[in-house]
Amino acid sequence: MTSLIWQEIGKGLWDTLYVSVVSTLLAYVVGLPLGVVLAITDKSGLKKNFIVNKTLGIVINILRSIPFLILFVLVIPFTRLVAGTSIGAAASIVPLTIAAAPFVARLTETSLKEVDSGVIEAALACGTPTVKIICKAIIPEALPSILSNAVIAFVTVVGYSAMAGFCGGGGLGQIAIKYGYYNNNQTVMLVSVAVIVVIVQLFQEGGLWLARFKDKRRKNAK
Amino acid sequence: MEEIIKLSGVNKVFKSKNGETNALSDVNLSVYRGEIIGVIGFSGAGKSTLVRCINALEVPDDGKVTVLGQEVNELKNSELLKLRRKIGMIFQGFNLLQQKTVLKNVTFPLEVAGMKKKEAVWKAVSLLEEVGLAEKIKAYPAQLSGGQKQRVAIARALANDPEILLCDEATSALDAETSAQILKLLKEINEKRGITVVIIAHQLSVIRTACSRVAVIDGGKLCETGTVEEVFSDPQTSAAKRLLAFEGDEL
Ligand SMILES: Nc1ncnc2c1ncn2[C@@H]1O[C@H](COP(=O)(O)OP(=O)(O)OP(=O)(O)O)[C@@H](O)[C@H]1O
Ligand SMILES: [Mg+2]
Repeated sequence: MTSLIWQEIGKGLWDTLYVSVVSTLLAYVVGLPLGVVLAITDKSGLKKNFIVNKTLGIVINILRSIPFLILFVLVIPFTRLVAGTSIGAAASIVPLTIAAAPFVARLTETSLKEVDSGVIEAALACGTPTVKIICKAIIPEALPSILSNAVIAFVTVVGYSAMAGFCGGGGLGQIAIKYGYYNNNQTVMLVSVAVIVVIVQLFQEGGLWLARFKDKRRKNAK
Repeated sequence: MEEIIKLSGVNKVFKSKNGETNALSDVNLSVYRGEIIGVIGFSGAGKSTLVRCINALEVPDDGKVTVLGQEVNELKNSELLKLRRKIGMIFQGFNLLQQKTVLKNVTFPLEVAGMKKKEAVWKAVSLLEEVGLAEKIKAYPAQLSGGQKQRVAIARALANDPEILLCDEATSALDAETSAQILKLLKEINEKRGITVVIIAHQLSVIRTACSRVAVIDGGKLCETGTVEEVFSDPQTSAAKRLLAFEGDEL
């Protein structure tokens, strides 16, 4: 393999990484508050609200049931509006965020609902306003679970971003199709796949380690 | 004597798929300042529902709940939050924040009430000394025994200098010896601080050790109230008699 190809793999790696990280972060900016709303408006939640819960739930289910490639194409006009173009790594952040945010909302909802209701009750009983119960009790208690779910979200976004690469999204996905498919250079494709696998493993292990480290329910927590 | 808590004509019905439960029917109860009162009854009798009405964790369908001269279900939200800070509560399951240290668990209600961090730490440390846990300040709840966890919960409940302490089966998860120690601590707190204490239990021994007065609740009805000696030596209702009979079996 020429050094040019290596350079391109390096660039692809960088694109995949930053696109996935930025998209996951943005997905949390949108999805985390939505997850909080889902959890607290639930029938066993702090601020039960059937209409809000159902409406938001349906919107999220619809978004989640659209296959990513179709969503990618559907939102192209919006992507152009936001990013100025629909091609390239940076532009793919838009559809990736839209696809990941509802997923993140559901993951967050699950994490928050795992928090022991007794703990929430104790916070209520000492006169804590709702917002503080959410920010100072529920979210910190759910943090280890939120962190390990963030790993799942990130890995999913990496997978989506490779798909985005197939339709002009850049990154390692694009390299795979350019060399592996059109130029029939299997080596490049395999190397790209290997690189993605390594990235995912690193984030997976690192994220889970962090989640475990942060979890003070261990006997030997510091 | 000042009535610090007064329930009059309190009704509470829970509706579920399997029908309706009359958790409380026409409950009238007065608690006087400075006393330790026990509420006893079999499982499902409505004990928890009754105390949860006192700090409005449960809102009755009708009837009046007056605490510290305020009608709890008529209060604005901000006033209710203030009132709750005057009512400490401890639970069977301790309900500590698992991800926070012992110290942070106790500063939590203080900071919520707007106290500066430094001051809150100061106060929390002295509270933890009071419950005999000063050396565990940096530990997490998972590293404590049941009795220690309940001590942290007591320190937390006392944080905002409450006038009332509600204890919902606070010793049910503990062994006999630890349970006795916790009851002793509650009595000390009552004497030293003059806090009114409401103790829920399904074991007579708990009531006998700690309380001066007792209310017997059965099937959502408050059927007998009196001094511990009165009720235990000469029970008037079948519910109280059944409770006493069960104690005999236990011993
Ligand atoms: N949130 C609820 N929804 C439906 N039913 C409830 C609810 N809370 C309590 N109940 C019912 O109300 C009745 C009284 O419950 P409560 O928890 O007050 O009993 P308890 O005397 O505290 O019992 P235990 O000793 O088991 O704690 C029970 O029949 C219970 O099933
Ligand atoms: Mg109960």
